[in-house]
Amino acid sequence: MNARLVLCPICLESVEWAGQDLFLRDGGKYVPLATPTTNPNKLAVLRRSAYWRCPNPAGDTADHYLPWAYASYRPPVVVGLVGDSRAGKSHLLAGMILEIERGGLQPYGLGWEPLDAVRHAAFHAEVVERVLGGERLPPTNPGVVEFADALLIKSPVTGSWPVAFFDIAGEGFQRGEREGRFVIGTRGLIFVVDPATALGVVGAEPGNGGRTQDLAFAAVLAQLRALLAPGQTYLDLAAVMVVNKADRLRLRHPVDTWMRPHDGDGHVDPARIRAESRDAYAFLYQHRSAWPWLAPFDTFRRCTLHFASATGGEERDGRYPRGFRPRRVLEPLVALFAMTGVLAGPEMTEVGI
Amino acid sequence: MPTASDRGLDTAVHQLRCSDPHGRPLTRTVRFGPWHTPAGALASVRPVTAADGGPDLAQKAVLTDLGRRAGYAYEMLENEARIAARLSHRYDSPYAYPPELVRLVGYDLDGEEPFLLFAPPRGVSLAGAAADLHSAALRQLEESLLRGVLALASSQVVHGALTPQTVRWDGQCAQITELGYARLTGEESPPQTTGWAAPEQRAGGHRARLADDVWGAGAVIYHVVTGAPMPATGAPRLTNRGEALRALLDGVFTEPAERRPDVATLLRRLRVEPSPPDGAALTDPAFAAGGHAFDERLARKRASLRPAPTPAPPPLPRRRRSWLWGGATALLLVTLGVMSMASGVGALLAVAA
Repeated sequence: MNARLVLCPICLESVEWAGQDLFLRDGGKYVPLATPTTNPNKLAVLRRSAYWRCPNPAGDTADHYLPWAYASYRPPVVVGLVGDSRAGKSHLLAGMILEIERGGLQPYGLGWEPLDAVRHAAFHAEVVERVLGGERLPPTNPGVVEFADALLIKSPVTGSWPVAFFDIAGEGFQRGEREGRFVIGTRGLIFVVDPATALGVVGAEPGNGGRTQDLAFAAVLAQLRALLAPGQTYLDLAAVMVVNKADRLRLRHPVDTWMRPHDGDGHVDPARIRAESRDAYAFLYQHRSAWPWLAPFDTFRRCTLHFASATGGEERDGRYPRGFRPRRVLEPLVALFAMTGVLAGPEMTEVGI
Repeated sequence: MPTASDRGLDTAVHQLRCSDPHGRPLTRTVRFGPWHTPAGALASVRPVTAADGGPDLAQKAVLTDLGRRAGYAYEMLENEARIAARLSHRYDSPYAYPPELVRLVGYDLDGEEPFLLFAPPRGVSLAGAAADLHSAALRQLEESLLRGVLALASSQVVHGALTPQTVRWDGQCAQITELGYARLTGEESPPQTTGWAAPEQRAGGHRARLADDVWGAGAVIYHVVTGAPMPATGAPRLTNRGEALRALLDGVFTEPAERRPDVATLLRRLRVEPSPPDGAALTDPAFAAGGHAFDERLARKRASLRPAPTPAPPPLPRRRRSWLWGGATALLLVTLGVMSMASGVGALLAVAA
């Protein structure tokens, strides 16, 4: 197998991948596959749930493993969710994965399969099943620097794309903390705006604690702006902003026009995305307290804004009485796919700009 | 939150917690009457008697049994909440809420059995009252109904299902109720199947327009004046009806919709000044400013995509160019002259030799 360089999304080093030894996950540990088979069909099946160990050349990160398929395709699209600890990132990701599992990308001509079957099964069992049971997710564990799930998104037009999702605890983005560094290796970022902190629309939650900005946004933007070349104004990294928990805002103008029950029709309409972006921007802008949350739009050249609700409604005593009902959670992802090349077509170049 | 024990006549006092149309917490101390589910309805209703000195209310809910049978009942209720909230935001205090429109008092859309609270509906539905109206009352009803439609229209709301069942009359004033099918102008509206709806509303993919309610209001007026139902398809025959009705409804049942008179014209035909009720602006000035801020920022980003033009060398002045051409020509002539002289001298030298 020819060696090639792969950017490890965890240690952020370019590492040589040449079909290293296989590892399997066993009870949370990675164990080498002692007797690799010579049967190519069996090997192909094994690789679906196998890993390779990153050589960790800088040595500044603990041992870490990547799915075998991670480097088997084109360079992966690494997507990071950014936001404060209560912004609802984990619920949003759970909603996205659930809607993908339900075939929500099919109208856009996209198929999928797990890139890492073991991790996806674990994510489904530990996250998706819990929220489907009406349970509220606990906060993400700080200190975990691994992607939460990874899928192979398949397009008949553009081919297969490994897509890995990072969901890091909000505290991990604080300046100087190592967990937040993963954003340097991403190709797309999802900034999750919490209406509780940005607008004071707290719903059933306690107050916003007097926050005047999203510290995770600030830390990530500071990290990335440091990469700007002299004279460069915008970062060329796809970004979407999601006004999450929009179920709380669904009776307010103009959220009431966007949060109506609506299934994606498979048509990526840049004008419609721009109209929603404009409405969402103006909605935040009209609240002076929310201006700091608009910073990503000024930082990234291509950036869209969306209203979405990961849960579909408020929790009651830690549960969702009418179940977990994600609403409009795939629209931001579709915009991100349009901006990263997963979706192709002349109109895709108009998305986010 | 209504529970199974509430479903019959209940003399117990309950704390009813929900949100007011502006999203603020609302708690009322109340007694519940029995639930009633009208035939074919997608929600149940019950009277709510105040036990706290406040006004009585009417509660409309999707109970679990109905929700299981008809999941879209939830969407209808949520849509009704969104339209009713829009009307509240526009006409609530400090303005005088139009008595011709049903008035939302509170909502809870996230409980197991989501509900809306309305001010109690006034009077009786026109489905049972049409035959009892004398001419003065008919004139008053026509004006009141059209004022209600004008109040909707000036909020860009299309009721979409004006029928004798959805319009009430208390002897003084009409009241438009049941906003489950209502849409904002331009939104896709559900297809209608009865003769009360305009022909274009019966096709799928129809976009709500104010002319829909002109047909609907005309149909209700036609029914209460004549006692006849609307034909299953097409326009009713007005030629054999009274002159006043023909004058009022002239053009109302016309296709295409663009040729229908607007509701203000109908009010003028009744010699009524068609002044819409005072209300809050549909768009907040700060929101509009946010839209402009978005436009400016997007324009800057788009400009950044255009490569900076490479400066072309400045064109030479015309006189200088002609001088250069002249100089070059002179130089060429001199060169040729020298060459011919040289060749002549050479020839002479050769002859001399």
